[in-house]
Amino acid sequence: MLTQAGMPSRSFSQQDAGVDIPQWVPSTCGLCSIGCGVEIGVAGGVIAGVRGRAGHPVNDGRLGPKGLNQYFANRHPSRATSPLIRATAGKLVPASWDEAMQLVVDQFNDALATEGPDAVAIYNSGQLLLEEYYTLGKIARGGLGIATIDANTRLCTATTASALMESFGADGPPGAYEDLEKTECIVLVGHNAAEQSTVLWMRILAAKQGPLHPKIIVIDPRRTLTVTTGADLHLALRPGTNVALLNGICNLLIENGTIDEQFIARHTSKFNQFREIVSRSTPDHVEATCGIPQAQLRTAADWIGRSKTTVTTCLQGVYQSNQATAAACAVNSMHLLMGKIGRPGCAPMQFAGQPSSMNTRETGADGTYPAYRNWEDQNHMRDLAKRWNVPVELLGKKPIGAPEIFELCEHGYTKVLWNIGTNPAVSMMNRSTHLRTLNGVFLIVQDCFADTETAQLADVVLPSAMWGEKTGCMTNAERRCTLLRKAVDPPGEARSDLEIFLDFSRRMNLRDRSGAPLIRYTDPEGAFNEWREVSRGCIPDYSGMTYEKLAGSGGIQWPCNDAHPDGTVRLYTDPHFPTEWQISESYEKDLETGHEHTLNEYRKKRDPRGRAVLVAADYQPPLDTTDDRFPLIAISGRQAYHWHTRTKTAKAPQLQEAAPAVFVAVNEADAEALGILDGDRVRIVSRRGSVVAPAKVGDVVPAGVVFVPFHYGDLGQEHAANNLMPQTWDPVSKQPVQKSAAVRLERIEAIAGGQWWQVEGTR
Amino acid sequence: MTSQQAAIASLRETVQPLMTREIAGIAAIDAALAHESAADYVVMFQGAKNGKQANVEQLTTLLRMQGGIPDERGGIRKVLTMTQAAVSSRVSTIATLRAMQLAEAALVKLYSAALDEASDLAERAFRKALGRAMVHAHLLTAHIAKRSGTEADAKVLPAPLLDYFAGADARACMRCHLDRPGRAGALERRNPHPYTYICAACHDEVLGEFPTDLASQMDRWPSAVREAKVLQHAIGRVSKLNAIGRVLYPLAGLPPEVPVPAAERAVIVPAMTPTPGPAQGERAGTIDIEIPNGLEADYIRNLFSAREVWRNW
Repeated sequence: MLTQAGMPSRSFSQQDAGVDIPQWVPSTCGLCSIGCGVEIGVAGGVIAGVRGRAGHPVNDGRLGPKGLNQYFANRHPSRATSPLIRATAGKLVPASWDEAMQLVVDQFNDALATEGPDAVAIYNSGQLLLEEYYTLGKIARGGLGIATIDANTRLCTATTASALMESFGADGPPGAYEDLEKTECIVLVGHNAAEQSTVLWMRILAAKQGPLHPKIIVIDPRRTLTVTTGADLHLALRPGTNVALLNGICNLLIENGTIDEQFIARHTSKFNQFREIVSRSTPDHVEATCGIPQAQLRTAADWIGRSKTTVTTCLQGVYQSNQATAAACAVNSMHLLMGKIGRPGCAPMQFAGQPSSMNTRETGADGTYPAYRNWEDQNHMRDLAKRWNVPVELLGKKPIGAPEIFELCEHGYTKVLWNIGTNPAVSMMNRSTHLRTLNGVFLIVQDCFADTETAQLADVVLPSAMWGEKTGCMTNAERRCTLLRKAVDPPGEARSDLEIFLDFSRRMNLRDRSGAPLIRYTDPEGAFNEWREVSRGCIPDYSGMTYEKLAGSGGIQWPCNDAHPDGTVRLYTDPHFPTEWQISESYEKDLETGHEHTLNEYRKKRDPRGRAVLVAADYQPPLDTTDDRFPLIAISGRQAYHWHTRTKTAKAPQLQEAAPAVFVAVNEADAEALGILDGDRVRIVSRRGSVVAPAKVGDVVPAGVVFVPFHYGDLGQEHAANNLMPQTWDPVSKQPVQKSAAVRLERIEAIAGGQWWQVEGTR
Repeated sequence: MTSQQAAIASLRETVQPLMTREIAGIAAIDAALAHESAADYVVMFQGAKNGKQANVEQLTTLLRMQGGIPDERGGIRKVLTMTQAAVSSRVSTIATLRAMQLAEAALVKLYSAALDEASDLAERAFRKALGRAMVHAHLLTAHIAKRSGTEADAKVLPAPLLDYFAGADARACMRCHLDRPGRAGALERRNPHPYTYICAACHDEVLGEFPTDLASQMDRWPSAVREAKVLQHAIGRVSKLNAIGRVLYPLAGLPPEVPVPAAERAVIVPAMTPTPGPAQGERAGTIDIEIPNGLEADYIRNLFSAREVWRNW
């Protein structure tokens, strides 16, 4: 049976052996950004199983290994069940909610009153719910008046937002997953879909056997599972050279005449400048820079250019790499050149990395203003001030990204850091510096686990509910908002993040201009209804959605309003782009420095007036350079069985067994030159730290490159890939570069007959 | 009146006029920004607005802490100041600067008076806000002195005008908002880039702010990359705050304001436990997966058999 989109149905489930499950609660998977429909099996008040939702437009019954195993974390004994406060003796001890919240409020008030808004910061997540992000953003921007708020989405898909803004004027992914079943060519750039987006990859493979039989091109330095299970062409480029390769493809599209000149003339700007820049990426230049043979490059350009329809997906191989925004923009430009946007089977699919990453960007929990309002546009700020009933003079503060927030903490400007649902003690680059920083600030950790590496450094721990234990919405990478119903109660005294935010706002005495409480709603639906009004008439328009409408559907894609009551499958079908100065989310930034045009500069000289921008940049090499001491490049990435820093997935037996320990993948030629055998314990050393791990020798990584999965990072151990990574970030998106460090490899110990996953001490 | 009500009333009496003036000042800056065509001045005005917003947030917090409700409307003063700013920004930049300077001088007096009467938290709050106001006032004075060329304006500054401006024009560096002399030379970018300007002194100072692992490699970066990275760093929040505390404070006659880095406040945390694995006794459940035929089926089989996936790691 096929869904409307053309995807065949499947059936995936897992439940506790021998348990009869009387109740299945509809929800959405809480891992990755695909947004699969799930049902949570409840027996005796606990989650006892999970199954894919049949007929759901995203997955139609499918689930990946992480999705099927996510409920083990809910019932793990390490859940945070009561607030904790660091006592004078240095230990975290249980406290009442009153004590813990009063301490939090005292710290915030003291720092705000004596130092000002830079002295406090909020670093949140990509895994909360829309209503929670909206509330947190409103507290930060409308209540505390701080710009120092961001989410860990800065580490996963901040570049998505930046690239969409630069190319199209505003954030908002243009396409839909159903485009995958309607296309003749799929290009995956830095996207190991077979491990990171498993259900999406199932859909792609099913589509590959469908009537259009799409060609699949994979651009990735490694020979990944995606390559071996479905690629027709693998471009194994050198790490950090995405821009050179994508420019090379665009150059050939122009040279081959496989572009849509009418579309370019009518709907884009800066073609001449674009052509001049990409013309420098000749096949010779690409071969020299990226290591891609010219014949492969020409085949890729030929397949992309001659297919009637093309979908290109990007993920961390673009967003966490050198020149992230420039590379993501190059993908957008490639589609604009061919007019392949806004119609079935055609989309630059800039992905998100977490289940509600999109909501952080929409609501402003990532430091932007809600509903894609431009902080520099006084009309946007007046409109928001009116809807929030707060003084406009206190809005319009330039966003500060997470890397800069952590720098503010490091240098002592920020004294109180509220860390919510994320684990920077493992996930931040240049980790040793950040561990010292986290140790030195007053650290509030709001999390569902009391033992994350970050929680172990906390001064206060606030226990929170997790997936399945609260009600609210998540929006996936195709703009589809779905409602997640609470299935079970959180353990002990844990509270939903929304309840904690509402309590904080009340205790802080945050008010609007009339003296009424800043936050008047008391539950998720109230928050959602206010968000609908705040987003009304804006680009991510949710005004036409209600809980009732969402509950009866497999999600609704925004914009959803009076004109589009059932939502909108694709953006830019007209194709008119929101680049006019009155609506644009930003005023075009310098890809090399991140500096933005002023309103008057943009309005008078740059405004493309509804056309998309053909953005191009010349290739620039990564900043952390190889030399005699550090001759190899280390890249990091994820595995099919773990999620971020393993706080959830390490607790599932099947997942932990499948990926028990850190390792370093080494090419056999490099291994031979260094006398390293498979399983030998090695040390990878960069200019700022090291990782000790068993070597996995093979041909998955090319010579000159080593790969370390970034999930591992126990305190006191040298397991974290981020020990190696430099403190650098993309100038526009401010996304850290976590896939490029110059390193050397040293053999520590030969393990005779050892295998990489069995080496003692690596677990 | 209870003692808490009395405390609120007393605090409000001090804070409210300050807040009203700051909000009026922000409204005036917004009015000026709408007409300002010089990108360096836009950035300077945004910096000033940021400082005023910070002052309001501090004052608001003081009132909120007492249980009071701040009045953040700005009142008639806001309307008057906005109108004045809109008019003066059409007349000339120097007229705008003078109007702002007058307003700032009044604020400095008010903050000084408030500081004399305050203690504890309020004292620290007023001292910080006064510092921002003084920095802003001196910045405006320096720009006026440079633009007008009048000795009287320059005389008010605590240092020679040459320490504020090295060149012939009153340009505003996008880090320190002045145009100070230095060794490495100023950096400037124009069309097709957004206009960007960093003065020579800031260029020197920013080079010293790079972490050593990157600083040691800067000579290897192509010159365009190196320049771009310096500019990126210079317009970052930390670097701008460094410029305010280490440069603008002394140039406003104040001692430098340098915070204590987090690492110096760090304490050793005792227990470090590794990420726990599955709970004791926890077993994987019964997995039921419909395996279809073809490519998708092959992949699903691989995916749920870890050893097959390991071949691709």
